[in-house]
Amino acid sequence: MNYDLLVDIASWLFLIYAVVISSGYLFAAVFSFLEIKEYKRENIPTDDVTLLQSTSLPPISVLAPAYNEEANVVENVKSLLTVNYPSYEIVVINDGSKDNTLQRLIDTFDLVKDESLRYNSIPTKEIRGVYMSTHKAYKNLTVIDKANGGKADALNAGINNCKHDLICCIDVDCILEDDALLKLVNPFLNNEKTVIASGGIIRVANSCIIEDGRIIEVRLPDKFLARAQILEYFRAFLMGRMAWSRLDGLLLISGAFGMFNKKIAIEVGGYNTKTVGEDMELLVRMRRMMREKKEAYTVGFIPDPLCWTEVPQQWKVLHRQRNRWTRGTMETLWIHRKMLFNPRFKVLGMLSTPYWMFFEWLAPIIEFFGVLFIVLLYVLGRLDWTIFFSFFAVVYFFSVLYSITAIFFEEYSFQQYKKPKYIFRLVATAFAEPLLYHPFVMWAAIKGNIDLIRGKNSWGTMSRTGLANPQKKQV
Amino acid sequence: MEKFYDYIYYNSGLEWIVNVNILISLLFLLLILLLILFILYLRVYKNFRNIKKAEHIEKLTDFINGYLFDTEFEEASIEEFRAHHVRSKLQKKVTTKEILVYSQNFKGEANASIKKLFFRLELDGLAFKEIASRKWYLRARGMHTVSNMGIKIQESTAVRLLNDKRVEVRLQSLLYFIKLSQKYPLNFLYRLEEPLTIWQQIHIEDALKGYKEEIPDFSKWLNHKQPTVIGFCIKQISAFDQYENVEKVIPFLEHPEEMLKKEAIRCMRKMGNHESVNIVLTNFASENNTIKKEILKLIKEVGSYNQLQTLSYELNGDNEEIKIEYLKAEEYFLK
Repeated sequence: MNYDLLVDIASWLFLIYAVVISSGYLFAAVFSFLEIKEYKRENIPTDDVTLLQSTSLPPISVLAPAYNEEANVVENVKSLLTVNYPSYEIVVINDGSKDNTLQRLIDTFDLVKDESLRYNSIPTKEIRGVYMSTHKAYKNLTVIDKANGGKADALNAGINNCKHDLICCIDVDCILEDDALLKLVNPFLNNEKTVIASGGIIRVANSCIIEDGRIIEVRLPDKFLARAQILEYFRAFLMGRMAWSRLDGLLLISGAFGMFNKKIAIEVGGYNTKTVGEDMELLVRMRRMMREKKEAYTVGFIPDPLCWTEVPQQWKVLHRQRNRWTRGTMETLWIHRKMLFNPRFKVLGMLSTPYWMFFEWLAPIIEFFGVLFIVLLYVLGRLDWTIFFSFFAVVYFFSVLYSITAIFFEEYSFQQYKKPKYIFRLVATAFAEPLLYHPFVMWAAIKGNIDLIRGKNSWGTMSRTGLANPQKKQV
Repeated sequence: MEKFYDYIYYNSGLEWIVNVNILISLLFLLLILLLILFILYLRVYKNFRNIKKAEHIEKLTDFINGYLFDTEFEEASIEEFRAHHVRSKLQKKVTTKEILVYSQNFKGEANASIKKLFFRLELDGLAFKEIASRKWYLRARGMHTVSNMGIKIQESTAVRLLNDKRVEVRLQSLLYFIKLSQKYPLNFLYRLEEPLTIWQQIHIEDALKGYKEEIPDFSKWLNHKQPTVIGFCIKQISAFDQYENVEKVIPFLEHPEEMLKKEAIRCMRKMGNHESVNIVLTNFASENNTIKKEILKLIKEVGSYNQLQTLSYELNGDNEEIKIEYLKAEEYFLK
């Protein structure tokens, strides 16, 4: 076998893959821009006051699973209770916490056990008790105490025990904008098709000034790691999901903040407790069922910043998170492999799932093999440094260009980072990110694949600095 | 530049792929720099625009306050203000928006004066232009302006926009019909060919709250071809306590469409109609869980324990969800 021919074939395959993936990003950018432009126009003559006074607005059950959240749970729940929406309940699910999460809730909100009969549409771990407040001010608060079963199981318990037809699943430590529910419910109100779910943009809360559970000043974090994730979130939400939303091919609504049609969520069996990517898997299963039933449906997406979350500031924690995301993606794609390249599922089968397969799951693997290939050429003394650096420059400048485009989209749309110096720091981060941050994330994804093959199925600990504080605070 | 190009292509001695890569990298770098410049320009432009906007609003506020409350206000200054401060697109847009806010906040004579000012500043021309636009967001904005300022437009145009392909334009058009109607605010429903979204229903409800004339008889549209319109009317019959229409809603208790059946049962519950319980009990066994739950709620609120007991066979079945709902209703009666 001709050795040079093999090297040539490998080089061309890598090159073709790079061109295809870059074209995909380019299309995503164009579609996202169109979608953002359209959304900005949609909002011209609306009147929130009208909506807030209406009795026709569908009531919402907000489901917030909590595990060992003793330190912040009270403030987080208080913050959730002040969200601007006429009719909603907060259902906190204590997922077998080992600390005093439940007791703190019972003491603060005057909770007593409610012995009403309840139907469990979805099987879950044992429910130890459902608590309601005796205090009028907290009448829309329900706390479920259950044996530990993971986030998906906790959310299923919430679905079983909540009252309303729309469920909003959130992370208990997320910070919601005042009008977050009002905006997220919008696709459900303003659509002729059945809306099965809607999601919003998640923003990074690190370093922001928070008062009474609300973001009062958006600041750019000092830590490079958090800033790199801001860019990553810009790319993922403002460019990726916006484009998929325009094509009606969204496969993922973030587990941190998403709204679902309860009836359909129950019909598909609720969250899958056997995957660590339960948020993506649920949406894919819902979409798949609707498609199989041949019912007209859609998934809404709101580009406004509605929910703020703390991102990992330690490399170790970030590694665990990305490892889990990779496993979740792979598990979901495997469960729904029938959809892949299946024209019956239209955009989902022909575009969304192949995209996730080749560009989300496979990209780090191919990239990793690309690095190994370079090392191999070097060891064998066949690496042409000029060619290597020329390709490296193309890839590097393309990634910087993509990040800068994402910053442009942010500037064009919501302009959350007001101070001019933030722009310069973000641009500087965009130049450093491909060299310092990206390789680490790629490695975490590779480890995720290895762990999946080895049968690892745990979440791992997600330690956080903590966001909620009743006083003015910078995280 | 030319020298550089010649070097890359003819004299560098590099392989063609390297040359191509260098060019692509340079192109990307150039795009990066351009985008950074554009981001900075956007920041400056937005700031400048916001400052201009704030300055204009300040001037406009002073002007409107003078116009409304200053007894020595000279009519000639309206023309002067228009000529100097309502010239650019931005100024016209901001002025229209501000006048709409004033118009919503003032009632009576002040409201009439504000509307007069709108015409004196020749802003109606902009609204008409927007209505005729091919861009949907301008059509929606134009309709929003005319309906809030009480400006009549051609009937055929309004009807066309009522059935526009964009839901946002349809919403503004139906609000136009409600706000400008003297006597029959919902007559546009006869001409509505598109479904009524919940969003639109909320806005109609809100508009009706402020309606001073007699509330329309909602039974008129119970045979509309759009089920969403029928559902909305059933809801409003109970919201406005139109007891005289209960008889017309009863047939919907057996309607094949789930949404209409559900609305009819809810309507009967809210209106405390006892007779409806026996009707819905007849088909209980064949209903789905959503309807069954609504029926159980109806029995709980307007029915009797005896009527509930006719469903006790459900306890022997395997529908756990309904069993629990049944037991909850029973618990309510026996409490």
